Amino acid sequence: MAGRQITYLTDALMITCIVQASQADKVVKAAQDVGAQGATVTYARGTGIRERMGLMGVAIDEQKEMIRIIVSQEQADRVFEAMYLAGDLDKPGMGIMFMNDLDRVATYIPDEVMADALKPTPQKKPAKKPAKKPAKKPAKKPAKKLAAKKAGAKK
Amino acid sequence: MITEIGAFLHKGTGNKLVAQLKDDKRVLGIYVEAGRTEDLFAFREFGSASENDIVTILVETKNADRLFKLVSQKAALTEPQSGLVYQMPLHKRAS
Repeated sequence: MAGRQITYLTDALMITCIVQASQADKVVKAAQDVGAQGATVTYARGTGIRERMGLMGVAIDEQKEMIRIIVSQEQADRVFEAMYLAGDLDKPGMGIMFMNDLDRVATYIPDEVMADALKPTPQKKPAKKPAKKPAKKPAKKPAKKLAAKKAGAKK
Repeated sequence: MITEIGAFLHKGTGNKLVAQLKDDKRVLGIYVEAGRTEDLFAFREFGSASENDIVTILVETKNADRLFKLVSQKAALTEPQSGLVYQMPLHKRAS
């Protein structure tokens, strides 16, 4: 076991999306188009909305596909939205999706990727602030005083 | 507090993991399901996808670290295309 190390990734989320059977592929494709690496799909059986919709419920497939995708925090919202739109989840009975925070993730990370990640990032020097010029005193406005005096004279 | 440890593994290894961990007292529950994956493994069976096992383990949060390491070692994550293990907090459990 010597020399083996597990690298943990943090700031990851898992998107779970449950759709009708045979809909998963287009949802996964949409996720991949906006940057997701891939997805894992399993089969399931759903209940609930199908019964509530009465006769219209026969149009909803009882067989479901459950898609799980692990994404970084930066791309999570983008992937979530793409999947939602691709799966037509804004229509009744089409499915449901949710997103969970993950504490950590472990997988194989190639050495070169690891080396890149561990490189210290060069810190930018703070830009020099221009020396503050002494604030000019506001010019006196004698005109107003004169006007006030005139007003007082009228009274 | 309860934590879920999930593992996406090669087809066939899920049941082996279940057999190894089912008698572990730290494991509150362990389940395996079969699915297909797009990117985790190098071999392809159905176009761009390959079969895989998904193992879900429920443990007390205090035991999560040890179990996570154990599962990661059994999954041989130091090799390329070996799968993925994740850990996720759960809010409530009842049984």
